[in-house]
Amino acid sequence: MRLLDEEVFAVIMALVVVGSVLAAATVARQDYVAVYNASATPPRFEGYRSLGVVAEGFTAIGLLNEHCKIGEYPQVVFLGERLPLCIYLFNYEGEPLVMQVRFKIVANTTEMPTNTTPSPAPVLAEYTRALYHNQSALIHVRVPIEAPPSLVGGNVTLVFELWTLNPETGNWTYTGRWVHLHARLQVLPGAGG
Amino acid sequence: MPRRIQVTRLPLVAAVLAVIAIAQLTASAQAPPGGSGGFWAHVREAYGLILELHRNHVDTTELTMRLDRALVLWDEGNRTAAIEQVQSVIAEAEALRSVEGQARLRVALYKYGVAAVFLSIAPLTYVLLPRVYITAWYRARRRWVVER
Repeated sequence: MRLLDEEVFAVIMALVVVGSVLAAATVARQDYVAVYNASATPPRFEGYRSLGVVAEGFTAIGLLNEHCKIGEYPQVVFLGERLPLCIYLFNYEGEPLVMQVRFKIVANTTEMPTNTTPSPAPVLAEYTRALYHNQSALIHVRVPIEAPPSLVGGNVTLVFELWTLNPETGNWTYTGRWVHLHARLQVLPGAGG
Repeated sequence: MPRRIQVTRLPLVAAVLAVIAIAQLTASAQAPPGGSGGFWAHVREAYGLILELHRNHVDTTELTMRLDRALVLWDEGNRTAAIEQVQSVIAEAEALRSVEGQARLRVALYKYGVAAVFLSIAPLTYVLLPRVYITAWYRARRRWVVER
């Protein structure tokens, strides 16, 4: 094969052009931040960090059992107990987020949250974390099972809603994401009633 | 006559003022800067600064992790440590604001510089590849002897 043959050279050039344009486009699409050592005075530049390409940002919430694994969720919860569970949070919004999980107990399906509205049930517990882009967190929680005694023996839904802190207004904004767990509400053994 | 009424009401006015003063003192004792409201105001301020830095291309991974630590400490009931932590985040974020402009420029130069290097590979290949190939071809045959 002669490298300088016109056809061979054209093929090589085509490959090089496509490769270099793809590489340049990939670099141009990525977000970068400059890393500074803030403890030095003035802050010392230390390099760059790529945030990757954030075509469409999203947040995620997941409900795990007390060992932070999927499955083996409690099917019965006891009035007045503090139920151990684990919540998974993930931030892929392209910027840091302050995320809050609000725990509620819902007895009626009409009180369930939707993609746009949170549940009107009272907040029984809140768990707040700050996550950088592309960072996740596992939160071990002990949620308070508080409900009217009239619900004992029936089904309740444990709802965990994801809220984020809005930097412009300073208020919490419902993300439209939630997870829930259906369980039967019972009285603690030995608690009477 | 009006003077006598004022004198008789004096203890009542004093009592009302005392109640107001006690209420004020109680309220200020319940909501000092280190109280719940104060902590969340600090969190909002810290988060605002972190976002501003991030949007100006300053890395805030460390600051965000420390803010997260402050929130965990608060949830654990370690209020004093949580407030100290979030205040240190604010102080450090304020210090980093001085390099916002520099960071924006550095990131733009780096990003488009690297992209330009990649784009320059094609014309460089077009110009240099034949020359390099010819040079290598001649060097490989440098010791060849031509015979009739």
